[in-house]
Amino acid sequence: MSDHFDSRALRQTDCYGQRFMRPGTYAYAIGHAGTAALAQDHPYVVVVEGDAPKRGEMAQTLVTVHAEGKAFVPDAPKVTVNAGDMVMWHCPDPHARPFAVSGEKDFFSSDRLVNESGYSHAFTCTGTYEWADAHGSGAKGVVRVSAPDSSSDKGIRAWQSQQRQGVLVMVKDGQAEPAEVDVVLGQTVFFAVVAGPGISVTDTAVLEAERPVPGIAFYRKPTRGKDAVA
Amino acid sequence: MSEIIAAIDEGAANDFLDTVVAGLGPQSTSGSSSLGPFAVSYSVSGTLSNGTVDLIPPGTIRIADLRLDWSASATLSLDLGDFLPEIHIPQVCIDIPCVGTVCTPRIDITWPTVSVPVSFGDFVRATVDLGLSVTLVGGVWKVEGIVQGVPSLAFGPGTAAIVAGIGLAVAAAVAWVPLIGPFLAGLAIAVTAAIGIAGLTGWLGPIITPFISGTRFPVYEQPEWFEVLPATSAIDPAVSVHIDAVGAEVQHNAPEDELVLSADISA
Repeated sequence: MSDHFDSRALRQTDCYGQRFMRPGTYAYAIGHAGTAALAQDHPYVVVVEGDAPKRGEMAQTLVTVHAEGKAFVPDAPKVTVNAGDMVMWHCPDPHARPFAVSGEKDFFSSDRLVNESGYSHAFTCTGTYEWADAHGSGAKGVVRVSAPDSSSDKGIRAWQSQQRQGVLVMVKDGQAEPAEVDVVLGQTVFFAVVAGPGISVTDTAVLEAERPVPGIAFYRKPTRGKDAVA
Repeated sequence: MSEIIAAIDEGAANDFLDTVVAGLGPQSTSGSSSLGPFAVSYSVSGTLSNGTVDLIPPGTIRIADLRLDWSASATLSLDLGDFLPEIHIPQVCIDIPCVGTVCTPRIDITWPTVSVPVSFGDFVRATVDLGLSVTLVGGVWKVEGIVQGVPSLAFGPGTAAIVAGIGLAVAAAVAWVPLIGPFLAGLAIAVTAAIGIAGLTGWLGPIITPFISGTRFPVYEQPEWFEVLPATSAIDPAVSVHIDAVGAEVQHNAPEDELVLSADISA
């Protein structure tokens, strides 16, 4: 029993958030994880209005993504926000395939989280999860998920209360702070990327599965870090 | 008066039926039905072993404690949503320093429908009455004991353990389901209660009863032409007699009851 998570492949228990700091129109696509960045059409837009954001004042807009056949469709193809606001994407369908959000601009992609973006994951299985940046920045950390005390009403109430408390991990320039966190089953961890070259938050078990297999030519080569391929 | 008469007492009948029952071999069946609230597909096999024979005039062979060892493999289709409460991961709001508050949406957890394979087995006992049947089919005389009526099966004390075992099997099989951890113990209890001992026996009884009811126990078999002297040369052919009629009954010949076979013959 395990709960493999990957900011590059968003599922029901994941959210991707992007803060838009400057006015403009930002087109994007939603596609299957791993291929969204290859999209030639970007049919959806985030329109950012207003002046530069004020410190600490951030509104948030939620975009709900639906799986329709082979496509992913947002509930609103166009959202309008103010500069400095965050837009968050989430798909509530437990049967939807993993997806990614990919903008025309480089900073806007769930595949590579850069400045002022974030990824959240609610952990639904107990265990110790090591994560790392699949793109090779060196960012990494550990999430330990423990089982709640469900043997008493008091324990269950305590568990439900814990679930309402999110845990924040700040990632800046390849460093996670705190690097290790302890949560309880069902609790959410929000990875806020303050600054970085474009990272992922990926379960190392997923990374292990992506290691190239001898005889198979196609795999994703890291473009940064010690294993980078020119 | 019949020309040939053979008789065996209860002791011999016991030994004889031991051999007959052992020769019946295993029986099996498969299908799909409902076990408590679950849809279930199954395959069940059973093997009989002899009990204690009581000969009852004029035509009944009673076998007390006839034992059927059975084993079942079943796949339960279980909608976890029928047993577990609706739950969700609540909305979470997190303060990010120098940025503001970010909130994740509430996430509703949908419990899946799962298939759970289970295997179990036990034995039942039954007391059956065999009626005697004499037939001539294809030139062969057959005397058989045929189970009369539908026997009442007595399930063993292991049935309760089987129900509990199904509950544990279900809990183990769904351990992969996200967020189910705290609910596993309760799920096992809910499943066990939903099936119940009566539910298991009520499901199993109609499936394995045919392994006993209507069963034909071969007692005697003989071609109607019976060779009494083999051929010794081309001018001295075999000598056969014809069995004109066969009778079978239970008689009380003091001090005991006997199974008596009789035959009328002609040249």
